[in-house]
Amino acid sequence: MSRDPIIRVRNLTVGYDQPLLEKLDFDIYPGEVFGVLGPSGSGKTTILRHMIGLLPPLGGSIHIDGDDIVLATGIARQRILRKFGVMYQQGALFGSMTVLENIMLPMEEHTRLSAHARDLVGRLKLRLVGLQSYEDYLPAEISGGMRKRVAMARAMALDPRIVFLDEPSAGLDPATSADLDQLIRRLARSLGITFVMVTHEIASILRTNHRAIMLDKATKSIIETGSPSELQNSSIPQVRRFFQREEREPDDDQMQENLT
Amino acid sequence: MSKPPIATESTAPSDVRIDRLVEADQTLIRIVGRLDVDTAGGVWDVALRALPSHGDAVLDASELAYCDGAGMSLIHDMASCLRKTGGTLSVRGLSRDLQSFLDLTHLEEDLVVSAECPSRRTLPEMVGMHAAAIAKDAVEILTYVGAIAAALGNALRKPHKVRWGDVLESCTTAGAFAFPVVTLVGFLLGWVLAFSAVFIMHDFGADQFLAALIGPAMVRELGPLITCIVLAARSGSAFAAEIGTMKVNEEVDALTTMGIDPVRFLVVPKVLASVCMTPLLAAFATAAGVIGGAIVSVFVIGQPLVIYTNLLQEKVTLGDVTLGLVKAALFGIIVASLGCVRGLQTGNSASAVGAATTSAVVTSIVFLAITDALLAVIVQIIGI
Repeated sequence: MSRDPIIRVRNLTVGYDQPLLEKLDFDIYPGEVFGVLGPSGSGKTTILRHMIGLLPPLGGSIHIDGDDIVLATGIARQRILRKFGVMYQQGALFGSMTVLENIMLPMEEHTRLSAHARDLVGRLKLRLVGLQSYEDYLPAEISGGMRKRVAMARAMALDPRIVFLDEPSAGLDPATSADLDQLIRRLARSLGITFVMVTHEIASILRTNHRAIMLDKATKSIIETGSPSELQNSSIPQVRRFFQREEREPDDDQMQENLT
Repeated sequence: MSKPPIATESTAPSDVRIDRLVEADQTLIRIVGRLDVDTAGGVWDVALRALPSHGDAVLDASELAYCDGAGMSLIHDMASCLRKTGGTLSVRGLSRDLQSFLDLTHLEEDLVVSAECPSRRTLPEMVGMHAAAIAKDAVEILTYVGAIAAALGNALRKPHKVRWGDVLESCTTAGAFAFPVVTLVGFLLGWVLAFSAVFIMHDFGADQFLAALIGPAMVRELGPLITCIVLAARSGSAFAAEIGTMKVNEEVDALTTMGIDPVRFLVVPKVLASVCMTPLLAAFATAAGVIGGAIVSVFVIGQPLVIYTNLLQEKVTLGDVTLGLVKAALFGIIVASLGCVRGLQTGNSASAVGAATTSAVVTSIVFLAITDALLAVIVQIIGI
């Protein structure tokens, strides 16, 4: 991937009012599934909020396809927002609208597609995430895993070049989570969509990511960058430990059981 | 030692005992029995007093049958106390399970106890802090009001961008469904007003002038005001709760990142519906109030209805009616906007939605009162 990056982050200071991470630099290339990893509280979700323009960072720049989302306002900002979709942790589907209406909303607001065309595109996106025949359900009537897939379909409603995923596996059982990961990989491969995901789910990282960065709370910086297998065999013990956690956990469970 | 009992019948403080033995220069403290959340409190001070004033101590736990988080905290406290005088506490004889529990809590590190309740603030400090909070809130409300005004202006210029379906829905829920309660309250208000006034008026032989009291008061003042107070409680709170819940569910964020302005999408339809419906509701409330007065006039004083209606026609002018309706529309904007603003200001928890709903109603009523007072002065000056 020697092409120009689609997202370029420079000198980024992450945080609400206190800096959580300082002077971050990283690039994300078109078509890759990119992971932002780190333990809880390391600022993963905050980086995401900076990147999607919900929260201004404390410093630095985030260029999305050439335009800085930090500085952009008005129409320039609208243009950047059109380039990406976001899948929120709990789906954030509009509860008063059916599944299909949720997916059609961005098209209704931003395109000149006729009602018929919107309906058709909406159904196609639902088929893409494997939820045909659920068009007329309300978000409250479907399962958590389905809601996430609808959220994915909605994030892709305007065929964006980038999709941001906030903790895609959160609250899903391992099988559903694996299905979602497979979907992400397939969409990345066949549509060339760039996925940026924030997660701490190791299985999901290994299944989907091409490349990832690992954040560290103590040094307030990125401590490692690379493919999941490179991270797994990192020379930094902390990074290795993060990946070994999966194997260590059953032991801990055993210990807890003994205690109680 | 034996495995800790799975359950014991009694957990009275007598279940635990602390022994102190001094051998040469070594203090040995032995804990016997169950040290748990029920028993630890009773022996806490005893255990601390058992510590030597300087030097090391050994805690013998071989007869400690059971120890929970509270018990471990006591052991922590003992270790911390010793560390302050330069000594160390070594724990021995713990069962394997309890030892692994103790290892999880890192006995070698002090548990830092939070300082006594944050330093008392002086009165001027507190007054200043509250004033600053109110000022900040006022600025935020002003910012939102500006955004709403801009969005309303845009809606007037590009009516096709307005979500008319949502406007209609809000008209139904905040308008049509509010009709019964608003009318009932208006009727009772008129009736009570007339009923309390009529006996005093009778003493002065002025009972035929009842309509002159009820008519202008209801039309100019009470009709619009009571309508909007009911609406603040009924619809303003609903708006705040609806938008607040959407905020908590990240739906407002989702709108923003979709490039859809939440103010245009969520607030404008509600404010437009409110502007359309409040004058109507106020008209019904006023009419019901006037009818309430008429009933008192006919059935309590026993006057023919025509005396009441004639005086009503004479005393209530077209200007009064217009003023009442304009007031109602203005109050409607205030109630709907503040409800929505409080919703958008919601924090990130379920209790924040409750707080947003409460403050929507309170702020609306305060602003209604202020606006009404200002209007009274303005109307007096321009002489309507």
